[in-house]
Amino acid sequence: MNNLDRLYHLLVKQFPDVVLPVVSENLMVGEFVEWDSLAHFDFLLSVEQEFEIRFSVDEMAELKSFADILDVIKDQKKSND
Amino acid sequence: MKTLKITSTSNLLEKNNLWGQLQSDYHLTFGGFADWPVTLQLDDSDCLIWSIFLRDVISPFTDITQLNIESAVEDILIPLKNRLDKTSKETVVLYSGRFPDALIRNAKCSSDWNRLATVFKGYLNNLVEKYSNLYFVEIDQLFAEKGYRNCFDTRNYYSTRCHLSLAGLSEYVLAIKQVMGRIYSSSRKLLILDCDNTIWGGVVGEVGIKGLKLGQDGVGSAFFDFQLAVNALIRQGVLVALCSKNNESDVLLTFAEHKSMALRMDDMVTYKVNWDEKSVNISKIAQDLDLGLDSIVFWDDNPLERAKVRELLPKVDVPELPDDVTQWPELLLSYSPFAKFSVLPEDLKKNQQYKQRGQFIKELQSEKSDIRGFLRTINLQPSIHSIGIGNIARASQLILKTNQFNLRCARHTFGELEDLIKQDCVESFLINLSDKFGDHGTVGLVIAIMENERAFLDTFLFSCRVLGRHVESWAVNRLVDELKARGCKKLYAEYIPSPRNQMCKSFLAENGFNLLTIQAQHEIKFKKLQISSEAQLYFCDLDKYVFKEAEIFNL
Repeated sequence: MNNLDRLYHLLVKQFPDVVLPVVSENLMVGEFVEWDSLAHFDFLLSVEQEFEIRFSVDEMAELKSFADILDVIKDQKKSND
Repeated sequence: MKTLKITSTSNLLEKNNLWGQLQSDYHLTFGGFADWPVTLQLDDSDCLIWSIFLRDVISPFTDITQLNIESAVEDILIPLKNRLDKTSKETVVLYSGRFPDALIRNAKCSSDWNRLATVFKGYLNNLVEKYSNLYFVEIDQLFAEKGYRNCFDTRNYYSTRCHLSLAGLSEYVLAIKQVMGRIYSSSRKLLILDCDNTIWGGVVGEVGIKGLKLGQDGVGSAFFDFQLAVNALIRQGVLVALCSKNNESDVLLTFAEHKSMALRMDDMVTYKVNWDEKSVNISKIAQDLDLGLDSIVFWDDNPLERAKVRELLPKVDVPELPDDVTQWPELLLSYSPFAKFSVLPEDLKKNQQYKQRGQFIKELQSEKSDIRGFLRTINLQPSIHSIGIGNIARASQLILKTNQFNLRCARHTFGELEDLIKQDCVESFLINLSDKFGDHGTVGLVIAIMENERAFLDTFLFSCRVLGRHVESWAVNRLVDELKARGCKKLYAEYIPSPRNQMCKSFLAENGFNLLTIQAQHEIKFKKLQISSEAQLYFCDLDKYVFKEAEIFNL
């Protein structure tokens, strides 16, 4: 699974009752009503756990979209995706 | 499902999936963390958890030296005290007072922060003694075990006012699960132990008594301390039995002759040492002692045996044990399924009482033809006792733990029970019993609620330890006498079938009650009670009641 798919999978797990939009790098907090800033914090914690990375306090506040998150993952992991 | 509300002094990430573990068992809601003082005073969920981090209410960064510690603490506790004075619903205080500090600061005299935390805990402990529906849980102990640095996360705090990391939140949720589990159901009653490589090192059938590792240095001393841990549980009222694949004589001899045995055969309530499957033996032990499989914990070093029992007897608790036996003594001593909020003097006699029961059954079985005659000779002496401070804890224990001889299984909480027995219209008493086989202590509980000339039997239950002696019938007779003396003419009683109480299905019919037709049931309405729809409702005309077993009790 590439990183984008892994992120999407985390979103599915977090919102099991929501019909999610199609997977895309542009998905971001506010995309649907349940994905509010509180849920977004939980989502970032689950990303940390899944990818074994750590976001700074600034990143916790600033990372909004899948694209933002994927950039940080790439930096921290120096991975291919 | 019980309603559970959590109100916290800071963010607990209430939308996080971890809370799902509680949501399956309780209707769980959260209060906003700015309004915990209001929630404490106004909320009426079945149980309210107040999550307090001391550093949320008094900042460790301010000048505490200028603080009057006692009045600051009193102020913080005002909403809680108001709540406790108003409601008997359960309240749990989940408290963390920890704040990192240099070790040096406390080496000559307690730091200001430490003194504040000490005073706070002192006040809370006083409240716990005064209010039976208050529970004080210090979660710092759990954080210390798992590592304060793992459980707390300053980044989360400064981002969103949540002190905890995901790991810490996970511990937090588990702690709540454990405490709530104990408030609403009872602890496990029976520990079934393997022998080889469980209470001693080695296989006695292969190495002989002298070859066992027990009591010396190294792993032998771990097994010895494990036996001491078992003894500690026995003192708390846990029953212990053996289940071992061995020759019986080898095990008995080891108990009798090994110089470092801390366990005594006399403390085992029963044992099954043979070559049968352990699941079969465990089922038999449960039957012999009249205990449900859900009261049992099975402790065995062999992963295969553990797996088999888990598979075949899913209700038995089988902890997955670490290979490292040195971890076992502490693991057993702190094992949650056995932990209770308080140990009563009655609990210390459990072992003896279960063995007395074994004796009674043996003698009873040899008298199969004339049971009544036999009972007449054993000098049954039941007595009733009103419920007060000295025995209400025991009454509460019976309400929560009694499954088999329990007509309605109405699981009143401690607070509800206190409220009930206070009322004038309630006739309630505990039943004690002694006979030729010993003093059995408190064995039954009766609660009836009166309304003019009618009464409703809210609670009628008996410990399975003393069944077969017709004391339950005696208790009906006694209740009838008490109710008649108070002007009552009619007694209604309900049998609500539940998975474990089939044995009292025909009790009411056999003890002077008549089953009401469905139409008649509809005509009966008691103000505050909800008579259940699956239930059978019975009626007894107190003037016509006759006690059929009078002669057994020499009455």
